[in-house]
Amino acid sequence: MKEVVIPKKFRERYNQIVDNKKSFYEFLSKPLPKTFRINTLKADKEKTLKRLEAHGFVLKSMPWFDLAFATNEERIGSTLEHFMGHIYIQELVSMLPPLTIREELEENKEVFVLDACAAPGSKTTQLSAFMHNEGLIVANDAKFERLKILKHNLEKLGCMNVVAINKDVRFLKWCETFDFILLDAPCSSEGTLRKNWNVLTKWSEGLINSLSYLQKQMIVKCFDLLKEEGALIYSTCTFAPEENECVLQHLLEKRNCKLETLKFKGLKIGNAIKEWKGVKFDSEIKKAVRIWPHHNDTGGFFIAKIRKVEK
Amino acid sequence: MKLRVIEKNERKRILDFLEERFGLKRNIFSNLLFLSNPKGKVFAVNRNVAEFAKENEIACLSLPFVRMNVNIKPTSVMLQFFGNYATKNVIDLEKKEAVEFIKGSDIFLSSSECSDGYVILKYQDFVLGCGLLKNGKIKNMLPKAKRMPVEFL
Repeated sequence: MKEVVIPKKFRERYNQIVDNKKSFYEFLSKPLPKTFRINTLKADKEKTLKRLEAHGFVLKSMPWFDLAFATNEERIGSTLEHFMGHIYIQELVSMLPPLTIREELEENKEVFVLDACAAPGSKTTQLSAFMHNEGLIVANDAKFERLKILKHNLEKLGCMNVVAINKDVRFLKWCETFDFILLDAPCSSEGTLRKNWNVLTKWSEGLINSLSYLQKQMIVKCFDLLKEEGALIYSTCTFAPEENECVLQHLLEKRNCKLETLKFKGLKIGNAIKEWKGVKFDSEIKKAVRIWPHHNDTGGFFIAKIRKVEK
Repeated sequence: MKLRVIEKNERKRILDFLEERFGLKRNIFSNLLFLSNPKGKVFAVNRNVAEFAKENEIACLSLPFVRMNVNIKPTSVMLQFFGNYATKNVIDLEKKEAVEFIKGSDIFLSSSECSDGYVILKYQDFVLGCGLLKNGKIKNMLPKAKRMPVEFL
């Protein structure tokens, strides 16, 4: 296990809101399990599993998503299935946001979806598979250099319902265009510590506050891009309330919306917090969920599903 | 990226080539529209993507289908998707050859029933990609970014 020094300020912040401090910090020091998703645009699930098991891979299925698996084999990236794009190596928590709209996408594939911060395309390609290559996904990323990996993954996984654009989402000109929007916002990435300890070298409360400012602008813009009755999925991979509950609070104060309750069968979920630094949050925010690393042996995550209601 | 929906005669040229070279029937592609960039790269997309691309500036899209200049060159990505419907100019590789092909090496044949030109390389049920056969040598046409070492086949 890697010896990691977690800043005092970090501990002070999260000791206030985590349920089991000892277990939380223990899990932060553990490497993440190898996990992947079967890409149904190109692969047959049963055949793929059979082949991987024939190589001696021990696979563990996830009760909350029939296409998600963990494996004991570090070299899952050296398989023919990976080369072919039949599987996609993806952190489990990263599979959650698209899952919140899976049923709606499968019922009505002819919908318009915006993935506001799409690169490298893990969630975009998952959405594309749920839509069976129908409808339209606009995959945006503000950073031009990140489009290369997005393009690579779209091609590899066989996505034909996706266009990529390179814009700052805050300045998109459309209005009430999309049925669903995924805003996996740029964040301080505290929840990814298990795979990248460099996150701590940049970590500061100043960074958190500046990201929170950006996220508040992004969430309001994305909400305005939604059609009436459309749904916006807001997610981050951080524990910081300023980037999570505070951003939702901002949207609830600015726009007319409701949050929806999220359930993932067999996945332990943490509650959104009710207040932070003396500020009490709107009761709607309790419907958002926190995924803590020590609850399910994953990275950390925050997700909310927001419905645009009648004006 | 500037894109245009290809002309009817261009679509016919592409589908004729795929049918003639690989036995890929045109009805396999009936739901797809083809967009071309100024360099002759043709993408297969659905109707919604084509309509969106007409009116908006886009940075990139998928699926690269063929490159169309003097000749038509099928992409490995497209063949991975549709190549299992092919009835001719398909070469089945042995395990060792498949590993080499995925790594990016050219393949040398001692004999083949395929004619010179683009061929589909397969390992078991998996279409690995495109090669260019000439005088017993299959030039590897996998894009460099997609080549990789494979341990489990």
